Amino acid sequence: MQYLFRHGAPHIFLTTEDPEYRYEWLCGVCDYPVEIDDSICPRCQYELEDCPICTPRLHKRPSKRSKSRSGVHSKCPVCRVRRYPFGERSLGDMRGKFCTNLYGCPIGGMLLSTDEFAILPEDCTLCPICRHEDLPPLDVRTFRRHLNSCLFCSTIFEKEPVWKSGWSASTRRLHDLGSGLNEGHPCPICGRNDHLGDGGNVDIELLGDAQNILQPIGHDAYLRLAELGRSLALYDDATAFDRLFGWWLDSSGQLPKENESVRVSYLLDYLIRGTVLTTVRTEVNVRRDPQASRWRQNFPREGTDFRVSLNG
Amino acid sequence: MAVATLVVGLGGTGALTTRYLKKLYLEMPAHERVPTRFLALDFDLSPLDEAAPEMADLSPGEFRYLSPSSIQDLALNIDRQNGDGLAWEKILEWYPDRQKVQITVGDVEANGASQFRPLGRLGFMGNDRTIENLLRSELDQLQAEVDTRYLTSDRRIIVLSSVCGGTGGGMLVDFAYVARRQEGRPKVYTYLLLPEVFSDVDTGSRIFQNAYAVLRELAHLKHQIVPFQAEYLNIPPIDVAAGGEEPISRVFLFGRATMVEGGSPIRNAAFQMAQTVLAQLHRQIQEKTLAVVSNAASASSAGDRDNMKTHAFSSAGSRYVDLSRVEVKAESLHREVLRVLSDPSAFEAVFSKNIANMLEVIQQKLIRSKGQSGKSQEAETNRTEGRGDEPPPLKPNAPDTTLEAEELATTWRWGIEKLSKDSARDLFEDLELRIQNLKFDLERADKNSLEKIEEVIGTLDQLKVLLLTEFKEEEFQKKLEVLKTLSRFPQIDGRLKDEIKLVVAQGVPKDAQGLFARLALISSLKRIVNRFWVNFPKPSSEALQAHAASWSKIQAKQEQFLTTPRNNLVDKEKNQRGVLAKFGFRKAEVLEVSLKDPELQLNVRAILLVRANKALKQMLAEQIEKLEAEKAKFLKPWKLLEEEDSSGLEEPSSIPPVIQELLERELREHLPELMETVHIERDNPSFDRRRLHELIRQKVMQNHHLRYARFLISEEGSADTDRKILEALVQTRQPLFVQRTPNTQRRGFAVILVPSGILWGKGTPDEFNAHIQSNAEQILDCKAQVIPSKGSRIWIYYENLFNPPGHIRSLAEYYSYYQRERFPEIFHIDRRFLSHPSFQLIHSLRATMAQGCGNSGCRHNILSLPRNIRICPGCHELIKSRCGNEDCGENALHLSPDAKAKKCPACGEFNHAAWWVCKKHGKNPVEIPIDKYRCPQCIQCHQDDRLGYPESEISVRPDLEDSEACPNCRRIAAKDPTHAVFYVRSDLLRFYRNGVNGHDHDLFQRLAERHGLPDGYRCPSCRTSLIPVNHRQFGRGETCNTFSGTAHPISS
Repeated sequence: MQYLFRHGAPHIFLTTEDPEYRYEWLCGVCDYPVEIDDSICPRCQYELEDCPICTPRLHKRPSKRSKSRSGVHSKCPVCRVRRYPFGERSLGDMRGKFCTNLYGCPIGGMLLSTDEFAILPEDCTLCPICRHEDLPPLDVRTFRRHLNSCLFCSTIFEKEPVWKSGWSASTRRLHDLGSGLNEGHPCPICGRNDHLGDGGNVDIELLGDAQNILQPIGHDAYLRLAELGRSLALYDDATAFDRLFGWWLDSSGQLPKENESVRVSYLLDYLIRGTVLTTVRTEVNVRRDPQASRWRQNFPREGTDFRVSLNG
Repeated sequence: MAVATLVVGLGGTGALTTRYLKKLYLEMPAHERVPTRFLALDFDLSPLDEAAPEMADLSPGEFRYLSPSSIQDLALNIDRQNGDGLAWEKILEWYPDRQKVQITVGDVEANGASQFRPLGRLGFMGNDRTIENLLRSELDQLQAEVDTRYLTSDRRIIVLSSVCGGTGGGMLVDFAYVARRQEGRPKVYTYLLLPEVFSDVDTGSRIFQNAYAVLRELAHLKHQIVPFQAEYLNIPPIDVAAGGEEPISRVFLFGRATMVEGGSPIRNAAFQMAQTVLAQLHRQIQEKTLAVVSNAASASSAGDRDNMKTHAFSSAGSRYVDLSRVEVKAESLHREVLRVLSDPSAFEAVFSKNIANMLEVIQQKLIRSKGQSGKSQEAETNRTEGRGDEPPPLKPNAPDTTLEAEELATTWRWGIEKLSKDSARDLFEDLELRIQNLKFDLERADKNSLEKIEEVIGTLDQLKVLLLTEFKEEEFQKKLEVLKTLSRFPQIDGRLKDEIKLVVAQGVPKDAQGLFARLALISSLKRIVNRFWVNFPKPSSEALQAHAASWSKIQAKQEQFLTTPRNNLVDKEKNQRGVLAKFGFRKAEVLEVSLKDPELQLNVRAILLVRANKALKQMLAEQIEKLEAEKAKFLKPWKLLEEEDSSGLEEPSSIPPVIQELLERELREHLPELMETVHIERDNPSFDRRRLHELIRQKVMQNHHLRYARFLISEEGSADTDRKILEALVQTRQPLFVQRTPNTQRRGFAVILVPSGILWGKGTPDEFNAHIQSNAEQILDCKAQVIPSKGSRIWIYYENLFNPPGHIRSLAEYYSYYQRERFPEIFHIDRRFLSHPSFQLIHSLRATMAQGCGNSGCRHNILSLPRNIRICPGCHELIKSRCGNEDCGENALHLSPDAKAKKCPACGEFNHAAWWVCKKHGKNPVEIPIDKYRCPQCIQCHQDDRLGYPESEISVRPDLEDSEACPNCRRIAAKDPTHAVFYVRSDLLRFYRNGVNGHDHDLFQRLAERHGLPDGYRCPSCRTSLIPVNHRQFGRGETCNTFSGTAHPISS
């Protein structure tokens, strides 16, 4: 009998026979070690599913949410965050708060890659997942206003009518700018204060000394920047890189022309330096290095100088 | 249709009861009996030796002596070899293990089964063929009645026994199963005596243990909660699985009976049981009870019926009161009364003797009846009219005229006070005007004559009597005279008289009823009015004294002026007029000032009140005089009747006392009516008497109650009958069960047979029935039905059904004896019962019998658990039904709306059922609701400093420190409460949570073996994977549970 025993981290179990064989996930009901593809917990016999919020962080797989008369139960039994699938109810009908930690929290920005809204309780002062004290949750009812007043957010999240099942998977590339009407204040979600300039360019307000280094960004380049931001907001590092890599690598294998392309490093810089709010910028910075190292791993020669075609 | 019954007495008590029952049965009229046969079985002949007039002898066919030698043979040779095996292997399966207990069988022959139930069962095995043959032949001989609707003929068997002995207790269950499998599947009812009856004569010290064992077995076998298997030696075996057909329909228990002088407790109890069973052999009671019980059971919901399975025990009681039939010469009582009435001298004898008393009684009766009806009419009038300034509402439904008179007096008093207040104000206005007019007259002194001036002054002097003299009783008349001179007084007086007339209605009622009632009312009113008095203000106020002094001064000067000669004046008269007018004017001014004194108004009010009281008294006296005269006029002919000399008639033949009483009752009954309708000829009393006689005769002929009367409960004898009925009701009640917890399954009913044709001294037969019914419902605490019967007994039969064993009053005592025994199997008829998981101790069989912990699915009885224990030993969770404080008596905290409050709503102390405490954070303990398993503050500390405050330091809820329930068992138990949840104990917990490392392997193996974990890692109850194992070792796509075959994946 190959017994398992907990070793190192709370979620890691090893076998007595084969120390290389690891169980890295726990049942969210009884903490029994399970595999990521186990559909049923061998101990408590509950059917398991992944929660986009807590499974990656806590390594726990909660039991499948039961169905009630009004649909699937909204709360995850482990992290207790309510999740409503797109289309089940409109933003106006929802009461609660959303996490504003767009890049540092799996529920930041409220929209999830699983085509769901992540809603926090109305009375919470900190997000229970990231517990970021400088990025407190905001009321859900303000989400639409922030979206409409921020060019970057309205570009990466688009508008409410398009949020339906398959939203994150179906939108491979961004083709249109959003319609955010900047009011002169940085957006509390993305921390940026971008606005449309002349000739279709986008003026990006930059911080301090960086202002002289970067040029106003063109329409197409801004869309690539938005794609980068969206991937980082919705996915973890690995998935975000995989999606960007899939989008940006030309299938023909030809290198894009210099004047029709932009470097990944530029995009990363634009993303970081265009984030005016320092707290958000810190979170973006944290995400930068993993991305850069993945580009370097995949393109040892170009690294982050890899050129991304501006033609969508 | 009556169900033919075979009564079987098992053991000594059973045989004794059968003898009592047979005697009672034979005394019952044949048409009331249910077809019945009697049979008694015992290993002892002593029940036949008892002799008493209350017992019948049992014929040889009715008593079967079973030879105890069969028991001895079997018991002594129980280990006998037969070839390769044991000869009595079938018996050894259930017989107590001889390695543990040895039953001495030396004196079996003398004492029957010697209070050893296994020996009793051995005896049944040894005589199995005889018993079944006897049973079959007796059932065949029962003359069962055929139900014409269904063409069936039901039979049933009543088993009489005790739960203490070896024979009855040992044979009861087997006998029931064997009886049940006979043709027609007759139902089996058992009537069992409890051990307290035998406590004085207990020789073997096993009666309480046996009783507990029998009750425990019956609680589980009555609805076949556990299987029953019996391999008999000569007859086919019985094998009934759990949930099979019930062997026994009802189990009735009997405790100590009311002691009869000279009787032993056992005999009394047996007689009481026989009396109760006798009711089931009474055709009418049996039919009724079967219908009621059938309705009660079918009206219960499925859930209730399921619960009733554990509510196996009932009690019953039956008593009757014999009524003696009225013995008369004629064929019926009615004819006898008529016969007596046909003789005028007999009627005269009754009539003359009682007429004076009767008139008195009739008057009272009339007054009472009128008083009530009159008052209710008046109350109705008051309600409907709804006047604006209504007096205080009258009390509804006052019992007699006194109350009505009081209400009338109050009404009058209220009205007259209001009136006198208004009248006093009016009179003062009048007085003011009068004085002003006098002043005006005095001002015009030059125009008025001296006489006129003197007249005015005289009037002022009169008014002074009213206003400035003290209010004393002797002054009352003078003051009243002054008031009478006022112009408004006649009007006021008229209003007062009108108010009085409202109270004293004019006219005299023409009918007797109205007259007597009116007289009573007015007399009462007069008595009340006589008690009225009026408070006058203080005799002399300071202001009044001052005014009186001013008046005296003026008066003195006036007199001085009048006495002094004034001859030198030119116009003497003119001068005198002017001076007198001045004195008068000053007097008027003093009176004017005194008018403003508030006490004066009160005094005038008092005068008016006194006058009104006097007027009312006078008017009432007049009314009474008038009514008395009318009453005398009305009663005169009846008085004449009373005085009429009946000596001319012949001496009546002797009248039986019963008839005399009946005649008196009839007279009393009908005289009021006759007084109304019969017009008495005042000059011919003899004629009137004859007419009255004839009318009474007619009334008697029309009285249908009398027509069918057979029993007379006289007014004097009524108390005696009442006492007997109450005694019977109290004795019928069997206080065997104590409702320790609410028992919604309990059903109780009483059937009371009342012979038709009862004449009751205190009312009609229907009133008698209602009287008994209400008494029965009150004493027996159940619904009671009164059914007319043709018999001569008032028969009370009561059943208290569906009680759990935990409610048996002395069960704890039986258990205390039982649990002391090291090997309880010696008290059971089958030792295999004890190893069956469903065969639990009966006082904790279901939480409803005692007290649950409040956790869903847990049936553990925490009644005996100290109150400061906070974890249920059954489910190992926190007890939610108690707050955990030693002095708190709350037992249903979980049902309280404040169940989750921090303070216990009952005792106000900390509520440990909803909160727990972590004491790791300084002086102030952290209070945590029980839905949190771990202390949040500990978690915070751990997150802040993972090394300094390791995870192992985090406080966990107290119930989780020691054990944790298997999550799969818990899930199953939520759906199926019978599932036994496995608890991972403290020694296994670390392996359950963290798995098994290599160096702990051996230790864990030993623990797994000790806890009986299947395959070394599975839950022993649900076989799920309890200890973490590499479930992928079983192959891709398969889990460790694929092999268990018991666990099933579920969606939450």
